[in-house]
Amino acid sequence: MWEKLVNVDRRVIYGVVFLSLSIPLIWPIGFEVAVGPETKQLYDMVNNLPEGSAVIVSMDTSPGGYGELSSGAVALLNHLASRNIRVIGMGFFDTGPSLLETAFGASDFRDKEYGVDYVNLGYLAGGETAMARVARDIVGSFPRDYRGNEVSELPVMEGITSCQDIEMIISISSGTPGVPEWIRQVGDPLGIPIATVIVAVNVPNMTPYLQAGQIIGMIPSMKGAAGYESLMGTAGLGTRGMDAQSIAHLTILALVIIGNLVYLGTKDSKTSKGGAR
Amino acid sequence: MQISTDLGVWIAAIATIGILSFAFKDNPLYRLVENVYVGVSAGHALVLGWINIRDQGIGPLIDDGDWSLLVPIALGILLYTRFFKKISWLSRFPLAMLVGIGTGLAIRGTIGSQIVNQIKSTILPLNSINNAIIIFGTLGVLIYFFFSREHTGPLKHVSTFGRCIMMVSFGAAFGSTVMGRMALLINRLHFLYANWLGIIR
Repeated sequence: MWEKLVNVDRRVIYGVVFLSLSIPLIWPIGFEVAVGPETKQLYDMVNNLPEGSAVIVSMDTSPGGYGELSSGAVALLNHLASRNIRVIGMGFFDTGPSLLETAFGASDFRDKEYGVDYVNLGYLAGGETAMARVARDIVGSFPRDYRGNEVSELPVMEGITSCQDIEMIISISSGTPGVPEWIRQVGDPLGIPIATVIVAVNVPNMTPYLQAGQIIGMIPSMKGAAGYESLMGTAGLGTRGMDAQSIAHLTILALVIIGNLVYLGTKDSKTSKGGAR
Repeated sequence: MQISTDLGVWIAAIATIGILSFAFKDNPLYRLVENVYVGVSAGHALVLGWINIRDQGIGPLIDDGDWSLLVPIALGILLYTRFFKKISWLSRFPLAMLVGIGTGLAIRGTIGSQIVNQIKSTILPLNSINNAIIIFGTLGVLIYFFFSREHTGPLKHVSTFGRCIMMVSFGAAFGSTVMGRMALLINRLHFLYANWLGIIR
């Protein structure tokens, strides 16, 4: 029996994981959503922003990361829209600005006025060096926005010249340049609060910054998005996806346990046959 | 159930199935979608790169007469001399400048943000289990990487504790990775079931 389990086709495992994700998506179970303290901190911070103030939303991700981050990004943008916060969007990944357009379109900003309530400044090449420039001069760094408008003439930019006129920077991040670069060039030198919507694989790397107060809040992956939606009293993709996520985690856990049992079983059978010890 | 009539949704759905089909077996649809993705990404990056050069360099140079921009434009052009063997050495100048500026900026921020502030955040009162884990965990891991003395006696126990802390961290990283990959797949499945097939809202 052990030999059969050792040689099981990997596609059987893919199939099991596929079903464990699909069934709860189609027929939701309704597991309770737990809100992490880092997500609550960000929610409170946005709630305390003065109406009409401005935040930077930096889409520091590629399409590969956006799939995981979209639910958190949309939940956060919905909250910013409900609080009438001006959003200055930009990207340091070349694909960032087009993903930002997608996020604006999927959020409540689609009902707001472009150029007045929000703007997508586009992409600036140079990574961390470009961020250092944006810290000093936003309009000079982006003379024209993603849609080709003169940035200096847009009402949304009124009173904003550098990052010191910004209340908070939110990096929707899956790689480099991302949160550490924002902290190094803007957060720590200028004392601007940094928050992030981040892919799960980077959460352990971000936790020291959170603990040190260099990040004031975080939406970690779909779990964070579900928590944020729960704080807002809405149910988006984050909430819907958490049932599937929980069942998939249980499935993976079961597979890890079975894998270890199989390993021990085959080891024992080899030992009893006088094989490898 | 209401299948989408949007051509864009159909293209995205077929591309998603094409990429996911690789889990079953390598096939022509997967290779087609993969190549299209690489091509579209390269084209997209090229266009955005040109827009950056136009808006940040050539535009202000011609429209505003900002002649100082000739220096970065010339340095940028020099990067391409690496394609010509006889003058390829010229590409070292802009490259050296890029590396120098990038390193200088990163080090300036790194010392404050990733060394001083991180050390400060581990100076905590020993009044909770969390604080104790942070303080002794940090010390244990640092001692694990202290190679100037053999890890014997008390040093061995502290180093083993540091290794255990790292293993917990690796476990958390693995768990987070699984969570992230599942979230990605959930997003695509939700797209297929909701936006394409219309079997969920």
